[in-house]
Amino acid sequence: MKRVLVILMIAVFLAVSARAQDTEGVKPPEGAVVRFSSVDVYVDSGEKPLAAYQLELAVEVGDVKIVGIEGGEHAAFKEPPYYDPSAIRRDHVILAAFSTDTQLPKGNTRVARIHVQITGDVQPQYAVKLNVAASTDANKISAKVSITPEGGAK
Amino acid sequence: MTDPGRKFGDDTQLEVPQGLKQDLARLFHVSVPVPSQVDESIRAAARTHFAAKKRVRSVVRWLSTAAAAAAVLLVIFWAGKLMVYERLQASPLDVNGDGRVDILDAFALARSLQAKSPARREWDVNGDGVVNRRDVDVIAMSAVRIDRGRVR
Repeated sequence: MKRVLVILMIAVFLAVSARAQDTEGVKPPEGAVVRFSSVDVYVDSGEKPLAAYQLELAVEVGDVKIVGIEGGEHAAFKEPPYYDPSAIRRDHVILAAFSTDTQLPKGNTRVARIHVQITGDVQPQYAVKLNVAASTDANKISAKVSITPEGGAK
Repeated sequence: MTDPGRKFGDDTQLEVPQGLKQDLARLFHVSVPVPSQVDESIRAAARTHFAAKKRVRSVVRWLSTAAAAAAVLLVIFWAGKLMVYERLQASPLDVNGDGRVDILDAFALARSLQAKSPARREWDVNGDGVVNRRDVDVIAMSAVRIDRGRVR
């Protein structure tokens, strides 16, 4: 019985300390200017319908943490894309989605919106790279990825 | 009368006479001329003998080098084979078989499910006994794991 209690106490202690560390990750330094913004991610598949994509986005400059991810503008990509939950509160994420719908976007379409928390006055800079894009037949297609951070020019 | 204790007189000449000396020299001095061909053949035999030894040594050296090289190649081959095997073993998620796990594998499986094509057993990546949308999600989530690399 005593052993069980000791194990329980250790587990509670570990859980509490892990929770404290998580909170520290989000909590900005005292006195720092914190603002929230979003980064729109676009994929341009040209004339071909976009059925699947996978891309990576990373913060290159600035103290930026990802705080949320939502889907795109077209019905086929309305749902949030696949992403690693551990990317939240970090500065690097891989997004991926596919659609088996018949109605698919062509041309330049917003596939995701990433909400970020920016600490400090530095203008953030991002790097984005398209890993793969495919059309309805699951064959790879050439496409371009771009971002529009904070409503600025793409 | 001669003294029996003395075989020779004091004046006995012990020197061999010159004539006898010459005769004996002529009799026992055998001059055997060795033809130059024999010399040459002996030298050739010696050369052949030592060349054979040298050849054996070089063959042994070559064989040991070749054996070492073969051993290294074998190790590299085995290691490569093992890596390929491990990669194949570790990639049941590579549905489209292009050597990498990305969203296209999830997409391929989703299309296959949608088309109601016969599912392959290895596509049951979550091991629940059925191939369904959950397996698609597992593959997709594996594709977006952020420990896979960074944008650069």
